[in-house]
Amino acid sequence: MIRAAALATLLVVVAPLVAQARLSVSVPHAQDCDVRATATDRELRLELRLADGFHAYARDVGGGGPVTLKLDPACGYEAAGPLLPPADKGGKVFGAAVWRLPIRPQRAGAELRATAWLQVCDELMCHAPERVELSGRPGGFPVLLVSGARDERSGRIADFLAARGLDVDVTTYAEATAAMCERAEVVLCDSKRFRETAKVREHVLAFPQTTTPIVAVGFFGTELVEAHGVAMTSGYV
Amino acid sequence: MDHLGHGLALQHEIFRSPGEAKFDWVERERPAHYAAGDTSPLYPDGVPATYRLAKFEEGKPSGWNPTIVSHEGFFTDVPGFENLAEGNSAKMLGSLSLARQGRYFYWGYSADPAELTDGAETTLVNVLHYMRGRRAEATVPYVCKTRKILWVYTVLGKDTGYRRGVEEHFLNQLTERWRATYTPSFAGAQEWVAKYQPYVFSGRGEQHRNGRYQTVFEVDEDAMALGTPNNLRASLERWIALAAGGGGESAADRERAERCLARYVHPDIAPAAGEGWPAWYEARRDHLVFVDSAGFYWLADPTR
Repeated sequence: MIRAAALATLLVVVAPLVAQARLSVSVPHAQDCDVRATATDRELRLELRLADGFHAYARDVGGGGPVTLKLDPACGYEAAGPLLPPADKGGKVFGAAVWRLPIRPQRAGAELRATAWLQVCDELMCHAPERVELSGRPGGFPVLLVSGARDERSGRIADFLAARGLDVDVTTYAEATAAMCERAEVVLCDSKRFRETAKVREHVLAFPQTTTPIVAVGFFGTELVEAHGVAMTSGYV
Repeated sequence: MDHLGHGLALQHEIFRSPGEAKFDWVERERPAHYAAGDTSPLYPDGVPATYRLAKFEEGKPSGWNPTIVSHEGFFTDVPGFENLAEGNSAKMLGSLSLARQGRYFYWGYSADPAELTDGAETTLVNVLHYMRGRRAEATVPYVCKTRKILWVYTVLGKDTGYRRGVEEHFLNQLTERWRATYTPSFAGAQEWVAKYQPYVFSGRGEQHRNGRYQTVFEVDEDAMALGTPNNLRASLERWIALAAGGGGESAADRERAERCLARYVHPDIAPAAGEGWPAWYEARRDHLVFVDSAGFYWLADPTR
């Protein structure tokens, strides 16, 4: 398999089953706190890991400034609800804590950009408020593209999908295995047109059974679906 | 089929999320082979005199592509089956180009962005999102073609002079016993379908296939004698009532009903030893579906 060259560099899928993408985090002066951010298409999660003895604020109780998180209005996501802070003790948050912002995409493959402000304090003092820039492409998930051959067409399709935030691997009908299919969340089985597909059909008919959903394209798609014992494409006359 | 689609289920998620698919449309008069009064799942009221087609590919593909002429009417009895767009078929109304059955999605256009329109690109990406999460989703098995194919022969090519459907294909997809009842013409096909189609079945062994056709149909004389089309719930309930007895029915009808139950209730869900049909039915009634393509069986709905 080859990795699609145009895979968005900011995207790292850390938990494929939930397709949660880790976002790039820029914290110029982080002190006594590690900051991580991940996102799905439906939720942006900001996680703080505070050093012992330090705390942040979940709400305004007259100490340091509470954590805020706002989307860049020009990015392709919008908030779908208010920021949900973690449980606190008198407004203070200790140890590891997660703020959750419900979001929804406005278009496929959009980049998510957001800004968080946080302030870390101990019992005696507070660091200066820190601005945290977050960016990345949530919603990406692993797709296995299966083609008759690795050629310009399969490259175009892979690049097209990668540019829309999907994590694309490419293989051929001859090389595809059940294990490859199982690792993906969706298998896209491509097909050229009838009579442009010589010497591949035998591999299509033997395509491995998989629990992974399959998007079956064109002529090979009809052959594969019927070979897998599914009625949908059996009726053409 | 070509680069166009119509009858799109535009409210469906694949056209709306995460991207809103926006197509260029072509408006055309209804062609002769989409005759007034013809219906399909996406056109329950027929095709209007003027209708519009969405461009999925930038240009009409060169050459013949026979792959995407599946008549969706075949699969309306499959639980969870989704008809989402019709292809621009030169044959007849009811050819699907976008459809889903279980964890399989059929995309009847190119997947090459060099050929796709913006609307099709958005839809293809949406389809991947829609299918994600359907891992291991079950559907019914495919065993044989459906009875709808016989109806298709009665209309396919009627206005173009194509006659192989009624003269050759229809005839050779009947068991030898039933060929004698068939007159190989459009009129003969229509007459045969009207009389026998509610009672045909297939998929039960070598007698239901031959060297050329995977599916050969037989008429169920028991179901026909009882006046019980084999795919209707009312028929299943009638057979159960007859088999249970006590209603003054004839012994012959009771035996016919018992044969129908044995023939159409899938062995995997048949009553256990000592379990009567009425109790069996009460325990399963909400989960039973009859599916032609699964072998003309009442079976458990795998989507529930």
